[in-house]
Amino acid sequence: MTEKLRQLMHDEVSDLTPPAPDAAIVLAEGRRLRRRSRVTTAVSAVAVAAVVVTTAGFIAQNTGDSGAKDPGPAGSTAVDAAPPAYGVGSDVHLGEVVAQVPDTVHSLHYTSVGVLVRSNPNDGASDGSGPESLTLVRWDGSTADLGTIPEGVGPATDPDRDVYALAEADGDGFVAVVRDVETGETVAEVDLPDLPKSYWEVPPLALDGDTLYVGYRNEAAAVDLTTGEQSPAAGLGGGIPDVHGGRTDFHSIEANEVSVLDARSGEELLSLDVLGSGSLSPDGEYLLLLTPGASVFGRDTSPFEVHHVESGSSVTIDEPADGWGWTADGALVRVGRDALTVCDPSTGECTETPLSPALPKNAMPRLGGRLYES
Amino acid sequence: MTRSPTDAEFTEMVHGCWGSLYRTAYLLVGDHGLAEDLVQTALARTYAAWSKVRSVEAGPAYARTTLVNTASEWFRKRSWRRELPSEHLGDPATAPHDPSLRLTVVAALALLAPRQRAVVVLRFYEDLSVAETARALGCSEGTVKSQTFDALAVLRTHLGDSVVPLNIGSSS
Repeated sequence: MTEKLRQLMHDEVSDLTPPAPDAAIVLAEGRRLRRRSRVTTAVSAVAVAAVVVTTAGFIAQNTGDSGAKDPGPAGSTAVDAAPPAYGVGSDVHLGEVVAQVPDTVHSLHYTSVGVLVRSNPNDGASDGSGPESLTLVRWDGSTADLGTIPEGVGPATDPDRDVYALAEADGDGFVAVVRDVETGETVAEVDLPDLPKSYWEVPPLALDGDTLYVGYRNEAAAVDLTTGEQSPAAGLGGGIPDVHGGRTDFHSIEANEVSVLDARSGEELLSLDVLGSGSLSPDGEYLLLLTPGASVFGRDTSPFEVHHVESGSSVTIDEPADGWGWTADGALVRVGRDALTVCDPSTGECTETPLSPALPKNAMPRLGGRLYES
Repeated sequence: MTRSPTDAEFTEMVHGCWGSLYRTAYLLVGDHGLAEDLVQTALARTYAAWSKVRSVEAGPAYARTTLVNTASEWFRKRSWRRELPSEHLGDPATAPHDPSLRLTVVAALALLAPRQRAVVVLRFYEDLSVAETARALGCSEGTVKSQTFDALAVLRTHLGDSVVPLNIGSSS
């Protein structure tokens, strides 16, 4: 009965000639919305009364954001954001939530349901720890005891997956065992390539979507978890693989270069002629660049840069370069004794929030997503 | 992990769905500039919420839902009518009644209240059900039915019984 109305509407708008889309404006606005949401949510999650300092970094190159068109009457959208995650002693902080794990936190690994925490009675150190406890701390602070794992390399996780993977000996070779992060139940096992292993008893792994990256003595391999297919990972060297969104960072002191490579193909995606090192965001979109700078009592007090891998644009963050990590969804975070700082890598804007109570005097917070020794 | 799309992938998606989204947006807001803003906003929000979208293939559908939600937010703002260009806010009393001077559908839609226009576009252009339209606009199914009835009555006046027959709208 409404066919005529329907047809007329289709006929009339089919004659419209839409203006050409400007994808650059859309991308810039999308990034701005995402960063704003992440920073706002991450800071509000620590539930402190007052924001005491807001620091705006300055745009070192044109990021494209400055030309963003006013989005019109719409407000901001709600986007899930991960709280800053860090461990101090046996306490695991996820924003305003605090949970306890056995002994001392060694490392925190991001998953889609929370943080997988490795802890041990050796003050969180790697060597000589003996078996380490594995505990899931969900975003709401509830925990699940996943037993112990051998001393050595940590579990491989992906911030968007609810599983973790560890390599285990299997006869003369190795398999990767993939387990449900809430129950510890095995959900998959895949054979690993038979290559000379590196320093550790089992090959260290990195999980990135459906791909496991496996580090050996001088090389690395990629294993498809769904098919078991194995292939070289040309972008990686030996040792512990570090892959985010299919990308890995690489630095060469001899070549005075920091670069980002496609982990599988080795294709160079970003190259910076600078002496330093880098750290990729969990989605591989941004590279935190650390270069030798001013030092006071062993702490780097110089500003630092964050580079957008695809566009090559960067922002300078006017904060001391020391001690930064990433939240699970890509905001920069640093935990000081009495304040937590969260920065937007696309704009350089930072928000500092006091910690109450302050951390103990000699506390050495362990940040989520970072490796500590191995 | 679900990575963000590359700029090239997202740009390709934007170009692929832009025209279709723009036409829906134009019917919803009745103005070219606002339609462009609406589509840009919806696509930017889609990019920002990529962890929920998860794949480039799912992007256009997510963007379309976001577009409708965004338009609905705009309509709820009290300032919405002041933001519309005045030439689009016709008065039904002054609209032509000579059948030979019938309005275009787009012009007739501009005579509707924003929510009524949205209901008509979603139901008869996007082919959503009453329930789907209610979800998209954040209102009850009863509201969708009553808005449909009222909107079709106005459209019938300006487009004629041949386009909007008398026997539709009452049970929509």
